Amino acid sequence: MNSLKRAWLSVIRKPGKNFLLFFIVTLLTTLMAASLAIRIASNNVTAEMQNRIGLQVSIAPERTELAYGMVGQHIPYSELKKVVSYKGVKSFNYGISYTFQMYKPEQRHMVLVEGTQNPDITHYWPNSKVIAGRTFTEKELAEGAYVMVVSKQMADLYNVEVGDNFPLGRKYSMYFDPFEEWFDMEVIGIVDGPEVTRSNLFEGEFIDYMTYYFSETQRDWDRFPIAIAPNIVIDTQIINTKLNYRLVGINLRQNVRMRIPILEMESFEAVTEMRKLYGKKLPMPFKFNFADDQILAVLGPIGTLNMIAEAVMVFTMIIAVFVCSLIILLYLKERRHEIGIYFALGEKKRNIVLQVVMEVWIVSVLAMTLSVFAGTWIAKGFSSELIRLQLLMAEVQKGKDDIINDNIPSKEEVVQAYTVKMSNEYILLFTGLAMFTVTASTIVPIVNILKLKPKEILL
Amino acid sequence: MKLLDIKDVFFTYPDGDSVRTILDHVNVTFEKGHFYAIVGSSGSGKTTFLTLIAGLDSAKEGSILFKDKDIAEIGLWEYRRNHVGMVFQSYNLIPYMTGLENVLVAMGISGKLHKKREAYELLESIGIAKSKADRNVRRLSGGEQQRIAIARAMANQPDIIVADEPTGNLDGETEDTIIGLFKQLAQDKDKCVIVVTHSEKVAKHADYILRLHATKGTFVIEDNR
Ligand SMILES: Nc1ncnc2c1ncn2[C@@H]1O[C@H](COP(=O)(O)OP(=O)(O)OP(=O)(O)O)[C@@H](O)[C@H]1O
Ligand SMILES: [Mg+2]
Repeated sequence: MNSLKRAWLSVIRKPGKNFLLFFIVTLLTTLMAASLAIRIASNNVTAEMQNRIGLQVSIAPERTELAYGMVGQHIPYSELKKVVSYKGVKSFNYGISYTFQMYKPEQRHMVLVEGTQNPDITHYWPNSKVIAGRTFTEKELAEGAYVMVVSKQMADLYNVEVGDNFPLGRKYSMYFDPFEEWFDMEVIGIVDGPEVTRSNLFEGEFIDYMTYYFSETQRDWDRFPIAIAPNIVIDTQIINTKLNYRLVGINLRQNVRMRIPILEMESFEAVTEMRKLYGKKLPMPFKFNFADDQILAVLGPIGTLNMIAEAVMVFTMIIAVFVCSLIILLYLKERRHEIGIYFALGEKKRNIVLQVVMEVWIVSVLAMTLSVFAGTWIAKGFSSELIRLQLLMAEVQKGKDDIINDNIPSKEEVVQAYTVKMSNEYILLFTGLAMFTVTASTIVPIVNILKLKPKEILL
Repeated sequence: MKLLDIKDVFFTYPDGDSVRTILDHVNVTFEKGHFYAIVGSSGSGKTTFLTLIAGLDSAKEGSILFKDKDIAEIGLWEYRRNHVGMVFQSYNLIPYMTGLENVLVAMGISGKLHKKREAYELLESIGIAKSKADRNVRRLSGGEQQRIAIARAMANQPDIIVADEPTGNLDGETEDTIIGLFKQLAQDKDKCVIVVTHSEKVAKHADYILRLHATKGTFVIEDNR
């Protein structure tokens, strides 16, 4: 009979003696299981909500500034560059749209050119692919080269091919002092982009402006040519600066369409880090809109619950080690004779340790089977009620100025997404933590029994 | 054949601020096939001496040689596991097991024997039938329990069997059968049997009687054959 068989016999022959340990382990590990289930559920819901919102950070002027006719003002590229050079930024889209006049001797048409900083065209036009030529190189993007990728629509419309030069001009018809500027753009790629139509391209006051210009172009409204280029970003800064200088007091709203730079971040940690590093460093009147601003309000109560659950778990584990150590100690004290016999028979110490640990494990595994269910059950009932209550009390504010806001989950969605369930992750983590706890509880008792002297016990 | 050689063994216990000498440079040898009785007044140090022989404690000075090798060198745990069997006055069986299981535990530890059949045979030879071997030891008489303890002491097939007042808790008739068993182990199985006893009856059956002198801390040996 080896030490494992002895452990087994000891447990099954003396169920009464093991009951106290079983009861206490069940009780404490149920608490552990419940808090773990709550933690996992809140982590999941947080991750899901963060996922839904996306890892976006946008930069926009304060709304009050917008109202004062500063629509055309973008954050200076030099400032933006400082921000986007932060390593947590995965990519960014500085998509300012400008309308340029296309110049061909016989025609004057409107072309919408948008700026980008991302060589991945799908980042700009989802589901599109380059059908001729190529996309931008990093160098072109960095330098703001005079190259562009055009939509198939546009290529068809003007009969352009890759390698063609395509002059784009910009003319402002202001009340005084007209301003005109031309760029020779090289077409480097053609993209099978989305069908750009009036409805998905323009909105609000901008339409008025386009309508005005379109009357000149005789083109079909619904098939508006579109292109993207890196240089626009930089050039428009120049234009803007000039314009602003010149047009103090004049409402620019009708001339320039403003886009908000959107930064895709690597992780939520990066968002938090970014907030710390640059949160207050933008020039007036610009400010960040952080995605986590938006969800913090919604997820706040869940965070609190998560913290409580963690505290309960740590506390329970500490208590469990103390209480279980004591019980095992008392239990082994009663079995001094038996252990003395093993000593006298020359049993190896490690086998005696193994036997004790196995006995505790057998009882604990039984207890844990019970508590893994009990814990989930308690966590379910307890936490969903608590979250509902806390969310009701929480003042969830939707952000005001931001496109990001569209994605913000409502309280109801959060409650719905919060589900306590028996996942593998939960069972594994629980088993690990509970086994660790009960095993830790055997240390003091084992050290204690190994000090026993068989001579004093048996004779 | 010389099996155990006790050489110049010196043993003391702390006694308040001073020490009390129990064994004062004891020299004895034990041989296979003999039955030894250790007698002496209460508190003279018989049990203490036995624990040294059994490898449960070590002497302050001197050495105990088993087949010419110091047991400290063999290692006390190893020595107990393989070479000695021990029987106690209060049986010291594991209470929640059957007699058979008690024997199997000891077999498992030494690893020399391990089959159930071997355990039954061993018990049988000591006078415990299968029906009693399968009974929880708490439901056996004192004599039966002591037989199981003897069987357990044999489970590692030792050369030496030591017993501390094995009949102390038994009535006269049972005492006789237990003594009979020890004698048999020495004579038929060629074991070296060393029994500490207060009983003159037990001592009378021994081949040698070792009288421990309480104040001198040494033995006077009588050949009793
Ligand atoms: N651990 C100890 N510490 C100090 N003194 C001890 C210890 N164990 C035993 N003694 C003392 O040593 C002496 C010898 O003890 P031992 O148990 O060997 O005697 P014994 O001959 O077996 O006596 P008995 O016949 O009553 O069993 C006794 O006086 C006892 O009180
Ligand atoms: Mg004694």
